[in-house]
Amino acid sequence: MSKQETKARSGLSVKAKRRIFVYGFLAWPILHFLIFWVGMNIGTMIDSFYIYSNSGVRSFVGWENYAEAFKIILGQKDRGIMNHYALLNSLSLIPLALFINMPLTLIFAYGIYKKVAGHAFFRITLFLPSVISTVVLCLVFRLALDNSSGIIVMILRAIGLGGDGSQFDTGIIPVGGFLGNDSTVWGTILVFSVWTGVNGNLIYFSSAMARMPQGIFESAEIDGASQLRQFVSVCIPLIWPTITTISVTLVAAVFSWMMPSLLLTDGTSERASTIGLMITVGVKNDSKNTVINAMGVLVAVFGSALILSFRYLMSKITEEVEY
Amino acid sequence: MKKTFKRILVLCLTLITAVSFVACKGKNNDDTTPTIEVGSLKETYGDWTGKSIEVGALDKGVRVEWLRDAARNFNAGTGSNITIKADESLNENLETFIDAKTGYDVYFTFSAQHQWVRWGLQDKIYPLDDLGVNFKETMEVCGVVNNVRYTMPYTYSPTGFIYNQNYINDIPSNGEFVKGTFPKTWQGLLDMCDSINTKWNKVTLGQKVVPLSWGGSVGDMGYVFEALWGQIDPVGYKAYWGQTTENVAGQNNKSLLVNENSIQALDCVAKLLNPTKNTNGQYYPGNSFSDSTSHSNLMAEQKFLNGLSVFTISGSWFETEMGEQIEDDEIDFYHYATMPIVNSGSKETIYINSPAEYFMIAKNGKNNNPDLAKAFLKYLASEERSRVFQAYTGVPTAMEYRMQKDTLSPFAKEVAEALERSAQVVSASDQKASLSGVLNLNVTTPFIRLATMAYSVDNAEAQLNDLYNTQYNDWNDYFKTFD
Amino acid sequence: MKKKFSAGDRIFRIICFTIMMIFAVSYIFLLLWMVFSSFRSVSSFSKYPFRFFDISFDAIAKNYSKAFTYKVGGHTSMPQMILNSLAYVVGTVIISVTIPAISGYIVAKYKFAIRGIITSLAIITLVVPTIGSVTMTYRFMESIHLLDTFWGVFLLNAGGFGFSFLLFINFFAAIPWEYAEAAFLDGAGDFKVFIRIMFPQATPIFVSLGIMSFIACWNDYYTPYLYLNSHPTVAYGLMAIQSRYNASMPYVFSAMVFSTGVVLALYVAFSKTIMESMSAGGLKG
Repeated sequence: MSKQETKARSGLSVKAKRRIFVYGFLAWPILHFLIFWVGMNIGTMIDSFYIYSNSGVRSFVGWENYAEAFKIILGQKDRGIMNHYALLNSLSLIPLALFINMPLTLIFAYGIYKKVAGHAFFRITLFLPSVISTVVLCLVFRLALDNSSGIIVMILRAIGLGGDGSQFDTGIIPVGGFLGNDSTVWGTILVFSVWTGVNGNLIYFSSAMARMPQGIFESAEIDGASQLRQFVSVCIPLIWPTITTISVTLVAAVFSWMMPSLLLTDGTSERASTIGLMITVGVKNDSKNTVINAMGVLVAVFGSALILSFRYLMSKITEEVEY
Repeated sequence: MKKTFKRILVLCLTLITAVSFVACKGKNNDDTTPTIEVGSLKETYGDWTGKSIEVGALDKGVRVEWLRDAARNFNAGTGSNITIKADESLNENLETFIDAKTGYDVYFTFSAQHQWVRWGLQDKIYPLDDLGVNFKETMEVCGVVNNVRYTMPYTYSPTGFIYNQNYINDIPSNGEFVKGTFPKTWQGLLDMCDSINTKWNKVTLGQKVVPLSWGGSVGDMGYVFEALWGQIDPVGYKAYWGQTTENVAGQNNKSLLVNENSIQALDCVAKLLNPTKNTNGQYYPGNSFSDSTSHSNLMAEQKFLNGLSVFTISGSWFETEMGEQIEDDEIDFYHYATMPIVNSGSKETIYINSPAEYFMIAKNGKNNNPDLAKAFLKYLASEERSRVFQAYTGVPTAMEYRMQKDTLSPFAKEVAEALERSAQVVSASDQKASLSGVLNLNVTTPFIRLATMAYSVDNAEAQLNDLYNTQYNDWNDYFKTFD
Repeated sequence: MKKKFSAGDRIFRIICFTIMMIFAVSYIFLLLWMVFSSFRSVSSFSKYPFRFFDISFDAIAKNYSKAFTYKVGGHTSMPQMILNSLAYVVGTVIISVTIPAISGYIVAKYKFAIRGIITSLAIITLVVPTIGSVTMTYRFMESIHLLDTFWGVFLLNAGGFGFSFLLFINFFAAIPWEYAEAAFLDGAGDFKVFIRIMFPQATPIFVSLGIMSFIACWNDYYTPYLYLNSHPTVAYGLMAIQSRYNASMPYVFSAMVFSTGVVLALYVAFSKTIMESMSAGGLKG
């Protein structure tokens, strides 16, 4: 970033005016930050050392809430959606986002950039999940998996994997259905996440690719590099900063991820719980549940360590290319 | 071309915005004439000319038409301005409404038990001891904490089986089951299921009809279990729910939950679930759908109405809840049955779905007219309004009154007659053990487990032991919530 | 002249095409199914959810009139929900794009004591997951009587640091200062320079951020679920309609067709603008 210096016309008054401009316009953002970020987080931390009784009386309990939170995280005290699967599920979203969703999105963006057949059509249709409400997407997915009449189940039966349509022979469909069986519910939700999440960042990657200098690709082509090779060795390094930023936001987003878990199972599946779901539903039921505060503090501490380490790792992988 | 398209788009959006403004000034649902004579309501309930309150009512189960009718009459008779808002998400948003000043004056809803207890103890809702309501004996304890009443329970919803008479007339007799009559004994019920599976083989919508559809992800089987337990051992059942903190402190209360009667009740449920091995070696509920364990109550009821099962688990609210589909398809084959008898000599017993819908008056309501709110609640608790409620919904109220069966639909009449001849069990007391929620039994996990593991006579006891251990571990936490 | 591809390239392109086609077809199938299902009767849909041409004109009238007249929460019809969504979205977009623009500009162009700290703090807000502070935020909003109000939601989104802030820093840093220096020589103050010269140059990034925020806000269920129960937006309202008419899905689909149609129309009309603006907006990490 460049430094700005202007010759003062009349010494102090310009400087003073400038100071008023700078601090005046920064006052609100700073105040907002102090209240809604610093204040709320410190308040959360302080409150995590207390509990509230039914009549609203506050009592100091020291580390008890943290002990409770750890018991839940370590699986010693599962209670409904407050259970140890929540953490495992949330963490499992990270490799999914980074190694499946993002690479697929990059390939789609590259395909559109390289003008594969129907690229104009894809540019609109592949962005549809971002435009359509999650409620719609979840509803359709759920109905499509219904054992009696879902389209996916019908397709599985047609290709011989869905049994003969009786309750006794259901092929690969587990008891309870894909979304109703403890061992398959989370995997099914991950499939949903890939189906709908691949294209959220399509536009960021597409626009980053649009700004890439054509010349490099032309030289690579003359040198005999295949399009796949160009993708890996030219395209990815050129848009690495965008990839880094997007992947950091993806990792940060897993901690508040909750809507599909709530909508695909009506919040009734304990195995489909996530950190975001635990905390949000907890707040709706009782805004003075301070175990949730303790959980939130733990998420903030360990989550930021995770994200910072990840960010550091990404920056070490390849040097930023200037163009 | 693109420009034309954009122009059309802008025109459409303007049109939609204009329509939105016009549509917003929609018809007020409360503007219709009263359905019965208003008489001298002013003398009994007071003159409320010019006073307003807003009632937020949960738009599920019994719905709100009966309440709109009551408001119309009360408004006409006393000069008040009571408006009813049907809110389908009310019970999820209660915490926000009670905390923020954007909520209603009066609420008709159900909520997790501890919520109203908390609001009462934190002085966010008004005490209702001065209403002078004549409750049914088993409902007297509901809504009370520290000897103060904070809520007025309203619905008294009998649970039971809803069965398809057309199918019953067709299924071959087997053992204690006689073709044409829904079984009165538990063995008869199991024999009927066996006949459906092995002798009947009816196919509809491309699928074989199963005996039972039930909501495994909600409390359906819990109703069956509690009804059977209350039938087999009414004294023991009441003792469990009436536990005090002294029972707990002594940690000698295990036998109140785990005893030969509760084990027998749960074992009956396990037999009804009939876990059966499928081609993959997994166990599924052999008398219902392989994915019943994940069905909601609405899904189960819908499958029943589509003819995919012979009976389902529901209650008196069934007809109102599934009203749209019943009306669209002109369905009339459904009937109500209480839980079949396990041990001969037991009295027919109905489990009353509790905690159920109740009224409460918030202190931060928009209009701040608690006296009008109380007068309205008193009116709703009257015998006359109880009869109107039952006529609309088929569900009795929690008040003591004489039912007027000729105003009821055939289905609602069956329920009313069943109530008259049965004993009823309610899972509630005004003791802290009950109010804290620690006595609430997990209504999904034990039944999902029983449905998906090989049957053994020891399974029921194992599940009850598990329930007790969880309760025992959570007990201290629950009691911390009281000062 | 059509470009000739090598065998390897052809295989790569076919694979790309196939995967993209599978996804695209599934999305189109979903849209079509939703539209056709909204034309069916409740009874027919409950028995055979995946039929397409089982249309009934009676059902169309019933379903769509239900979608328009049903009042979420007992007080808000679909047209009102659309207005609520517009109010929420427009207000949020304006605030959440304008305020970071100003703070981003100042940090990019001016040297002052706490500049480095502010940039670091902004990155911290992106890096530290603060989902746990939602209880405190909820109770704070309740205490200042802004819970369940539009102003409360706008206040929550009125921060000046965040992802947009970092984008604006990058963007303004790349704009030459010469324009401003010329204006200063003519006697213009800092504020005038910002409003007259710098702000207009950021139009592409405003447009692209605005459109992306619009779409995100339009589909945002989380904020209305927590903070705006009395003024349901379309995203929240669809969920409410679905919970009420769980056993009568065609009613829900007609509401969904309407709300999805609005956003889809906007996206189709402006997709090129979105792409061009994002490129010009310089979204380099």
